[in-house]
Amino acid sequence: MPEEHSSVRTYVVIFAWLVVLMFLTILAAMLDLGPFNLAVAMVIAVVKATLVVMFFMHVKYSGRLIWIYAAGAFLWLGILLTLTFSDYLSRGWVPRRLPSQPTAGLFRAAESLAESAPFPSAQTRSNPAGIPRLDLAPPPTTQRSIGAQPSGID
Amino acid sequence: MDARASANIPVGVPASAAEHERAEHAREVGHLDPHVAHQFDDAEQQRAASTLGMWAFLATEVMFFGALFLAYAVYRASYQDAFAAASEHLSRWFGAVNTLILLGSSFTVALAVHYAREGDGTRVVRCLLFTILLGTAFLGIKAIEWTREIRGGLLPGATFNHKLFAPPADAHGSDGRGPSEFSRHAELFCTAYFVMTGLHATHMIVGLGLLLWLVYITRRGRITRQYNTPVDMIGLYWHFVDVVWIFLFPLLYLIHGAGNH
Repeated sequence: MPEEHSSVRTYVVIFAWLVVLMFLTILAAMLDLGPFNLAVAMVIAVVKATLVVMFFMHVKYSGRLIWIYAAGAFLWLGILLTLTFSDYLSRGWVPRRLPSQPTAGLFRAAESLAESAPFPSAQTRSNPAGIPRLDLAPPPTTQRSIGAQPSGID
Repeated sequence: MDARASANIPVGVPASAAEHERAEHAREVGHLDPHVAHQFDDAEQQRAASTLGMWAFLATEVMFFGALFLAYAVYRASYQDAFAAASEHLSRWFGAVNTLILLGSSFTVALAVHYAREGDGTRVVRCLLFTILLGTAFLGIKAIEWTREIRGGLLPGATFNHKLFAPPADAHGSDGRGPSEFSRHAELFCTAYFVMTGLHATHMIVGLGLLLWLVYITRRGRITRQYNTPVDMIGLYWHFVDVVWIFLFPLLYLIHGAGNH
């Protein structure tokens, strides 16, 4: 791969730009741009880094393979930052659930129905329509035993 | 032989006459330059291989620092006000001067590579010495900064001065017995600051050692127009250290004031 290199003048110009961008960064930090302060600072930093990589590190004049290695390094860093931040930033988008209620918050209609329905007992499960059983003696009205005698109706 | 291996020709298959000729020619050309190792056809290929190897190493270094930057980013996003308050205790002007110094040293080392490719040994040594001077100045200012900060109670751990970071009125109040959540988060910033600038400074010390070695071999006449790869490669390393600082400076020193997000 033939490699031309820059002239001394190119290096001086790039260095001058780097210094200008540095002062720009400091200036921008003195202004109040709200959430854009970080964005502006990072954009300027990326521009400076690109100048250093392209011209001082001669990537601009290098073959494609070196471009791929250089770009790949920062691409992998980008993957690290992107995936990690998409995890953190999306926490709280989906409601947290306790293990005892795995579907809490997901099916609101079903939950409201469940609230108004009576709690199922053994008798209801065996006789869901509530048909009275005439072959059995009706329970004495004084007795209040808990689920002991089959009445046919819950 | 390596050309045959890369072409998946199994061992034992006799080389053709044409292959013999090509290998012979490559070896002859290589013999003209004592600095070209036998496995390369010419100096240009050797230089390309060295550059590729150096970039592979720099990619690992990017991930090395990248992990620290990631951790810093996550914690800063979580505790913005505490981080901004802690950053106020750093000196922006020391940081700015250091940035200028490091950019200048990148410039001088790029010049050194330029003169090495022209074979101008005297100028190479001069540029390298300037780079070493600027790098040492950077480390000196860093040492002054650290001394100032550690004496000011910013070193995380037993000596950390939690009283510096009285929580703002709206934060969850401390129980009065231990350090508040706010000051703990500020301590986290200081941990990130010392670790990241410390790792960066370590890289610079290694880089200074390499530059000194370069001065030595250049003065011994081992850097010529045909063979200047060491200058090139160590220049790449030095530029990388500069790029790390280009990101460190705004992230650590230039957090905009607390409560102004």
